[in-house]
Amino acid sequence: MAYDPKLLKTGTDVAAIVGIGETDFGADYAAARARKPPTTDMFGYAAKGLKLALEDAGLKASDIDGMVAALVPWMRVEEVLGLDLQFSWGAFWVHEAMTLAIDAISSGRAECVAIIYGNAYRSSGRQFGGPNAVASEAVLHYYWYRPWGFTSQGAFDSVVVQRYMEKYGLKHEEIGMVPIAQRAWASLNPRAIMRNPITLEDYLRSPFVAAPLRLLDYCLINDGGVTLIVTSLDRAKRLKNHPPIVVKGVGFGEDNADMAQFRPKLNFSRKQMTRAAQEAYQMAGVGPEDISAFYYYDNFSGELFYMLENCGYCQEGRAAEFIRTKGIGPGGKFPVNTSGGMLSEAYMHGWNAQAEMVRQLRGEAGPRQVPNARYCHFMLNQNAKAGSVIYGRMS
Amino acid sequence: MSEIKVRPAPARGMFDGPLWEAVDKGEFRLQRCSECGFVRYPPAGVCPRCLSENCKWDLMSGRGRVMSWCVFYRQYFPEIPPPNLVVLAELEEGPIIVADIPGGDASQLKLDLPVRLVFEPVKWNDGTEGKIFHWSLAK
Ligand SMILES: [Zn+2]
Repeated sequence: MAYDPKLLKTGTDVAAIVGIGETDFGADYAAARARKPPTTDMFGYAAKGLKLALEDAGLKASDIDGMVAALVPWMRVEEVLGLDLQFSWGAFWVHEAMTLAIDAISSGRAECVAIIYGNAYRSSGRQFGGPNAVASEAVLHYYWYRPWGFTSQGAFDSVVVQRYMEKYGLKHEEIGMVPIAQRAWASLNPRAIMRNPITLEDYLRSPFVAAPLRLLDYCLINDGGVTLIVTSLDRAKRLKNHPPIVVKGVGFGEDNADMAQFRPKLNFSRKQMTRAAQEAYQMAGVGPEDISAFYYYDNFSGELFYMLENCGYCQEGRAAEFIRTKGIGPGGKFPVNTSGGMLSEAYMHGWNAQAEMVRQLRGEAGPRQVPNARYCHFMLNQNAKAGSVIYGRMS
Repeated sequence: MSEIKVRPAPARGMFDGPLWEAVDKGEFRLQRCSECGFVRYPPAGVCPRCLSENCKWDLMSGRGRVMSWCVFYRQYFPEIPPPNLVVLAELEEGPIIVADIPGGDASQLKLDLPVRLVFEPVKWNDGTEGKIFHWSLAK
C-alpha cells in the first residue's frame, strides 16, 4: 500500500531532542571483564542515563511527564526511577520509541518525554548463540535450527554476507574497511570501549566466528544506559543549554514472509529497508544527498553494504566501491558511525548512535565533528523489521 | 561400525511431531495447505497464505539449490565441533531449509548448486534417538 507523504509530514518538526545521557561504557565494561560483581542492574543503568540527560537538558525529573522505555520493562522502570507520568509505554527499537514520543507530544498527552534505555547484558551473562541462547516463540529461528548448530545472531548475518559476496563479488578485505573505519572514529572518542586503531592485517588475522564474519565484525556486549529527552519545539526553544535537534523523519519497513527461513534476509532485506528509508526521507523532506553523516545498527559490520544500497546512497552491488571512493572514516566524504558504533564504542541497541547524532548536529562532537553537519540518518534492520530515523538542526 | 553422533535435540512444539516421525523413517514431509497448496516451514498451526488450518503432511522431493552458507569456527554447542558448514538451500517445493553438511568443504559450494537431503541416525542430547537430516552435494 502506498503512503501519503502529506500525512507523514504531520509528524515532522513536532519534537526535538534536548537532552542526552550515556553511562560510562568503558568503566562498566572493564569492571565486567575483571569479573567484579555487578553494582547495579538494568534499572540502575537506566537511572544513571536519565540523570545525565536531565543535567544535559537543564531539566528536573519533575519536568518529565512522558516516558518511552526501551528494552527495560516500562512498568517497573517508572517505579524504580520515581517518575510521575501522564504517558508511558514500552518499545524496543529506536524508530518505534521515537514514533511514540512524537505522538505523545503532538497529541498533547505529554510535553516532555524521556526515552529511557538500559541493559545489563554483559554482567548478566546473556547468550546470543548455543544451548542457552535467548529464545522464545516470537523468534522461532533462535532455537529451531539447534540440531545443526545454527542459532547465533552472527551466523544469521554471515549467510547474508556470504550470499552478497557470491552475488556481487565482495571481498574479505572490503568487509574489513567497515570495522577499521569505525575503530578509527572510536580512537577519537574517549567514551568508546575499543580505542586501539586496527589495520587491514589485524582484520585479516581476526578469527572467524561464523565465516565470512570475524570477531572484529561482531559488536561488543556491555552494560549501560542511554536516555534521550524529547520535547515540543516550543519548549525546546526555551531551553538554553544546547541547540535543539529536531526529529525530522521516521520510517518503518516490514517483510515477514518466511522470516524464520531467512527469506527476507537472503534477499538483502531490500523490501523492508527501502520502505523504511523512503518513509523517513519523505517525512523529513530530504534525500540521501542531504545527509551529512550516516549511522546504522551495526551488530555485525557486513550489513552496511546492502543497507547503503537499500537507502539509495549507491546502486545495487556497488556499496564496496562507494565506501572505498567516498571514505567512511575520519576525514571521509561519507562519515559512518562516527562514535565507533556498536563495534567499537558500545552495544546500546542503536541508542548510543542517537546520542552521537545529536552531538554532531549540535556541533559538539570535538575531534570527530563532521564539518557543518545538517542532517544525520540512522538505519536499523533486524529480522523482518527495518527502521529509519532522520534528525536535523532547527532551521 | 562408526559411532552414532550426538546432536542438540530439535524443538518439539505442538506441530512438530509429524516432521520428525517422517525423518525417522528417512522421509522429508512438510505441511502442504489443503486449501491453497502452499508449503510452510517450520511447522505451524495455520497457512500464512490463506489462514486455513487444514493441511496434509506431504512428501517432499528432498532436492534443493544452494542459497547461501556459513562455516562455524566458534564452538557454540558441545556436540558440534567446528568447523561446521551450514547450508541454506531452497527446496523445489519452495521452503528454504537450513541444515549442515558434516565434514563439508565450503570451497565446493556456489549459488544454485543442486543439493539433496540425506538422513542419518542420531542420538539427541535429551537422551532420545532418531534420525537427523543433512544437506549433501547432489551427485
Ligand atoms: Zn493456504
